[in-house]
Amino acid sequence: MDANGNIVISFENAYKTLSGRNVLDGMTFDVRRGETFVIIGPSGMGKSVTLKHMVGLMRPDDGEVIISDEGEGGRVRYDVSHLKPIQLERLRAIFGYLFQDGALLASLTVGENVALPLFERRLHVFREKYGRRNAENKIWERVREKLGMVDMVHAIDNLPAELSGGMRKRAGLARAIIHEPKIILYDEPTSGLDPVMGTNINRLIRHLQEKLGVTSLVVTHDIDSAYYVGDRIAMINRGRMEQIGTPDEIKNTTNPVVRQFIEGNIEGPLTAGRKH
Amino acid sequence: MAAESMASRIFVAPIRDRILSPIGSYVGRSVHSAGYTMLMTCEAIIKIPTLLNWRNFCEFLRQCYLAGIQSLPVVFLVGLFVGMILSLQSGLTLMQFGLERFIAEITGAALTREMGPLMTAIILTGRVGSSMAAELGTMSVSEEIDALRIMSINPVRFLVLPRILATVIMMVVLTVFAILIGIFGGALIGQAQIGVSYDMFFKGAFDVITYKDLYSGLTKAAVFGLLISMISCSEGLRTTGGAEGVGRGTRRAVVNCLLYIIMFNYIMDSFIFLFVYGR
Repeated sequence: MDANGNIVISFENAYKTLSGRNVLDGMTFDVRRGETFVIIGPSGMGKSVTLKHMVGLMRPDDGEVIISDEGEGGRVRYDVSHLKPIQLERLRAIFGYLFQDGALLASLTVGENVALPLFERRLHVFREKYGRRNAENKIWERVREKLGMVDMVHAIDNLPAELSGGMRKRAGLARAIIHEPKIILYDEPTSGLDPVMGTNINRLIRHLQEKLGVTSLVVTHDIDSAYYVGDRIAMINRGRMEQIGTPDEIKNTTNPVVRQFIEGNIEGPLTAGRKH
Repeated sequence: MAAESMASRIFVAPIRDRILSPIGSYVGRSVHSAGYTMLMTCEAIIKIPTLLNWRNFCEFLRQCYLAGIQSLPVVFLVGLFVGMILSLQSGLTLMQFGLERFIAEITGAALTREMGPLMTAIILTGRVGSSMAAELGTMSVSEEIDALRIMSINPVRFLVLPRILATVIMMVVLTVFAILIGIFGGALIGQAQIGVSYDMFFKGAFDVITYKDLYSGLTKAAVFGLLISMISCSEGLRTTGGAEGVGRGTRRAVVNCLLYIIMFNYIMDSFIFLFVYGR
């Protein structure tokens, strides 16, 4: 399937059951290198679980989740179901992950949170490149640069408890991109943000894709954001893909489930049999 | 056939569903929990050399401060009053036989062998164990632990190891402190109510404490510290289900810590009496 080397994430008939419920029920889709792939869908239908499978936080009960990476030694293929700890570590180094609520460590300041992946995992790289004396300064320079991208430099010494939800999310985004990952996973990047900051984050997602060639996978409920950032949009329903298409194809879809979701109608196949 | 089916419905199904199934499920959960806790602790022990890193060592010192220094006031008060109670109770009984001069020996030995480690463990369960379980539990439900894993930062090395090591070391330090304060409290009562002078009390109390008493008491303290931290961290890391889950995990951590402390206290006492005192 990825013979052309263009597929970086591939789900092949993935199944996952949690608390007796089929959260992934034959999930199949591919994400191409350098694209922004948006997943939309109702709450509790497996969007966040899909993201967690990509970074090995969860493993499929059946089926395959394959991540491909072009490393210095050639092409590397990670089968998430059968990864050893060292491979899992290498796989995770490819990813940046923005959590829904930022997931900042409460005991560290914003700056320390953002710097954490570099101090814990990349300090030796900085020391080799800039020397022992300059390594820490260079890390803090990088931290200020990434916080600047999300307009959060002023809060570098604040604790997460002193920030609003939106600010925590922006700091979380700075932490997700601090190690300049090849793939960024965004879990609800614009929820809880004011419209101006939401647009700012959407632009940043596009910027990272266009300027740095980052592959992005965005899970969102925000349809306008999906149309703006997405090269392709996929709708998940009941643990499988309902439809995958370009923003125009999704806007003009005749699929009643997708139509109901993007138009926000109360009546329709999505809510049939559910009490309102 | 019909009678057999009815018997199955009336007798077998309820026994299976209401008795055997919950027991099986409880045993399964307990075995899983014990296995997880043991593996987590082994992993933490293997990672001890990482404390040579200055940043990790700073976190260890921070945990020592939280577990040890901040517990000093409550250990002081409890130690003082336990020493006073021991002295008073033993004094009242011994006075009947004219042997009240021996209250120092009884207070010193009881505090070193038993009460010092036990009361410090109970205080640290309430103060430190519950706070560890709640803190790590909150981190679990707010996806902070997942965030660490994605950053390839081992949560056991980053969060659990400093807590386990700090609790074990501080438990020993606090136990020594509790024993000294307890003897001081006993001496106060000895002088004021029983008629044993300070000199006599301190001499009696410190003379009776042997190295065997001291290291068996402090070994117990270290084991209690290990139990408190490993159970609390394990419950915290396995917390799911939002705020309610954090409450549930914290409660389970405290109850399990107390249960295991009491059980291990007896088991260790048996071994100590057998192998250390040869009785």
